[in-house]
Amino acid sequence: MKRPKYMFWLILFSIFFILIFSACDSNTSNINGDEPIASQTITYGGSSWIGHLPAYIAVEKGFFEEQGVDVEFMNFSTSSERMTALASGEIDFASTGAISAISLMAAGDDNFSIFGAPDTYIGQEGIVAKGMTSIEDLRGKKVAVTFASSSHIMLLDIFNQHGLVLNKDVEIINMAGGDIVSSFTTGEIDAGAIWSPHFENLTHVDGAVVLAMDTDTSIYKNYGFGSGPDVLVIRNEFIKDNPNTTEKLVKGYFHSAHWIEENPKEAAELFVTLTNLDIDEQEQIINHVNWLDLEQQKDMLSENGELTGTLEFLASFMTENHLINNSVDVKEWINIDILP
Amino acid sequence: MAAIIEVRNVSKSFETKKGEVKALENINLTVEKGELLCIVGASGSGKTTLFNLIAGFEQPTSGEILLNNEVVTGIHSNATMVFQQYALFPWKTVLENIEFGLKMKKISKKKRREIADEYIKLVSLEGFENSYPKELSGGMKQRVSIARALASDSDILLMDEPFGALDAMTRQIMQEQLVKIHEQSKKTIVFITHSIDEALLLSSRLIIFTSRPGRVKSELINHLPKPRTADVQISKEYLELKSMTWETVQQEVLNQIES
Amino acid sequence: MTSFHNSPTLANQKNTNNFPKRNQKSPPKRKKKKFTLSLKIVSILSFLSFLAIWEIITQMGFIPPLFLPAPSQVVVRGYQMLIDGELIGHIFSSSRRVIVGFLISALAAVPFGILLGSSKTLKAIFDPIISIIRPLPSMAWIPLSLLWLGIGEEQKYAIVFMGSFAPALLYTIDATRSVNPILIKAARNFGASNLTVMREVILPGSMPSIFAGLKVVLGLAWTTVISAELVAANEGLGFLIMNGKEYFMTDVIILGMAMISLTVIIIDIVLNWVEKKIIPWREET
Repeated sequence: MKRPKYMFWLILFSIFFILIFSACDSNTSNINGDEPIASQTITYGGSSWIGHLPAYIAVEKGFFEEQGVDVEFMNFSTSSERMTALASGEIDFASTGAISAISLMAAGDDNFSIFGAPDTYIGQEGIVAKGMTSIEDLRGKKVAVTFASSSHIMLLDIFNQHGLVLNKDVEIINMAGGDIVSSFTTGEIDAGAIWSPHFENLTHVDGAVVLAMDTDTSIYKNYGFGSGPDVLVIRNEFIKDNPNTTEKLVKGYFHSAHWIEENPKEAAELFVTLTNLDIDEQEQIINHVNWLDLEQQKDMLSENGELTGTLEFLASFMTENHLINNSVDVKEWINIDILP
Repeated sequence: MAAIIEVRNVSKSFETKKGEVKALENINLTVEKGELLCIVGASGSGKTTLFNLIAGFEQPTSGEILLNNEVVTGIHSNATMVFQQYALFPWKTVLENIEFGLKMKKISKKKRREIADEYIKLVSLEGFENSYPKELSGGMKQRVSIARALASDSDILLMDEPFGALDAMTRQIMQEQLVKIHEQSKKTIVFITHSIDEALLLSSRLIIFTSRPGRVKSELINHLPKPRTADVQISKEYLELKSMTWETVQQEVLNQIES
Repeated sequence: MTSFHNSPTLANQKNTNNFPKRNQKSPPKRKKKKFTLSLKIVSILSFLSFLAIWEIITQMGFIPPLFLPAPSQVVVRGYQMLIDGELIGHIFSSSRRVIVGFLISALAAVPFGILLGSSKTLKAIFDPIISIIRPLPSMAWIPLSLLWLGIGEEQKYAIVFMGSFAPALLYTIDATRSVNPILIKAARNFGASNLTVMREVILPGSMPSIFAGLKVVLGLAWTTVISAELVAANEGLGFLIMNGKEYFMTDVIILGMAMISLTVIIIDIVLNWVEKKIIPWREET
């Protein structure tokens, strides 16, 4: 009886070891491996969010192709999932929420760089309440917000300005955008902080009052950016292995941004296949966004640039509010050398 | 002596997927009051079916069964079964198990306790009143089961290979005790076994069943002197009776193996 | 089996009305203790070596902490959160949700299951509904539960309830049906009515299997904790894991997972103790 028992354990342990080592093998090759990109297809992490429009247009209109690079547009539903894919090397570059990017920095990942921002998107998120007139009225009330989102930061920023203490003066509840709208309608929450298009839906509810907007945040007042700006990120290894391709990629991307500025209608026609919005509505949104071109990037990301300031402010804000556990020096991740 | 069980022309068939199976065929059998009758037969001779009919769990396909001159039409508590697997309630203590039949008869708690104590003494389980079945050995469990059957005070005990799961030593002791209990309690006992020795040791009469379908093959009156001690078991009479029985049974066993 | 095991040579014992008492004081006990102990040591060693290998591999730097932090890092994080009082809050919130949801489902499923287990007709009536509910993942109930119950604790209890009701019901039905038929036969033979058989045999007889089933279901109830805390939760182990994902705090994620396992293990130990108290007669299988 004894022998087979030990055999069993032996086999079990062997399998276990093999699994562990093969797992770490595959991981290391993904993260630290020096091999050049096998296929020339470069992957962009996007979604139907308006901030991904330049990359989408560049793929659809062939602006990348013109530069001789082949780019694939891959969808992710959240910034954190997109950043996870970037960290594991599944995508090469992306536009993503600054909060997610800073969180990944705080988690100790230094394998990516920030090289720009597609837009300054502002005025499309806010705090909406019923039966109130000011932020102070939120005392003792329930406010819903999607945790780890730009609205979360906006809410904290505005609360700080008004001296409201979280979970003491105001109860905040973690909810997704759609859920916030329905709970606000049924009156289960007193207020919601959310971005477009849920924001507009909230304002349409009977008796809804906008208490504050992203333009009221200290971030906007100081730097002109929203509380969760989109930033362009790229894998360092990709830059190292493909310096020429990187340059072409950046050129193609900002060419697209410039083109959108001049052809909003055509851009809207292409983008609705992803968003399912009405073309006019889409065009309106595109026009509302301030698209940033290549020249603006270097300024924004310079030592004293607005984006650099925004990101530094966000990083220290997140640390102070215990959203992340480590303080982050954002400048270490900023790389404007790859901008032609 | 009066007949307490009368089995008249009883046949029993079962519907199975492979068609109709005859378990019992034209059984005629009378059990006298106070008798200890052993039924011997190879497996598959429908002995257990006969018990189910007597206890009213099943109805004969044809024929009828009378207990105390009344036809059995359904489940009743006049013939208590003792099973090979003991069938003790694991969640009841020894005492509660023995009291079960009395509880069903709505006898008061105090009276139940008195009767149960009496039977605990009879089967020598003093000190185990509050033990659960899982704490007992096989032989002890079967003694509880027998005490439970006796305590319920029905006139008839239907014992279906009750000692079949016990080791040889325990089994022998149980057999000797059963004979004692039978003498003291004057109950009518019908005892199924496939051990010829057991049948010869216990019975006043034994009946041999054929196999598939079960029929009464032969009947033997057991005149062996009591108590049937080791001396009796090596006597000439005993051995003759045994070889006679064996011949009859052997034929049935062979038939069954061949079929 | 031989028919002649009562050979005369063995029958040399005197007839006596007293059964031999020598074996009675020590009913059959299994000599398993030592073996069980050594198996426990094997389990502990295997767990420790698992942790050791994990620690070594992560410390050697093959895997960045973002992908797999060292166990020591998880322990440090757990200690910090314990000092903050934050961790206890998460454990408590989730435990309350799981236990309340589970208890409601057990209270509903056990009586109902016993009923369905003892009546073929009732079972036939409810079978289609059970078959429809059974395969639904607890997450599928989130939208409806939000509409019907809102965003409060009731909604979380409901998610746990929906995840554990169907299995609890099926375990109970099986338990009820698995009561040894010979016990029912014995009870009827003593004149027990249907109701008495239910009360005296089926109810107590199905208890061990029901209890065993409920233990499995409580484990299942814990698997719904992520779904339960996906919407409108600010606290709980499920929230901790999902929020940790947003901020790439892999150590927090693993801590949350470990806390779920640990809580389940502790609850299991408590339940085993309770089981021994309320079913002292349970036969080991």
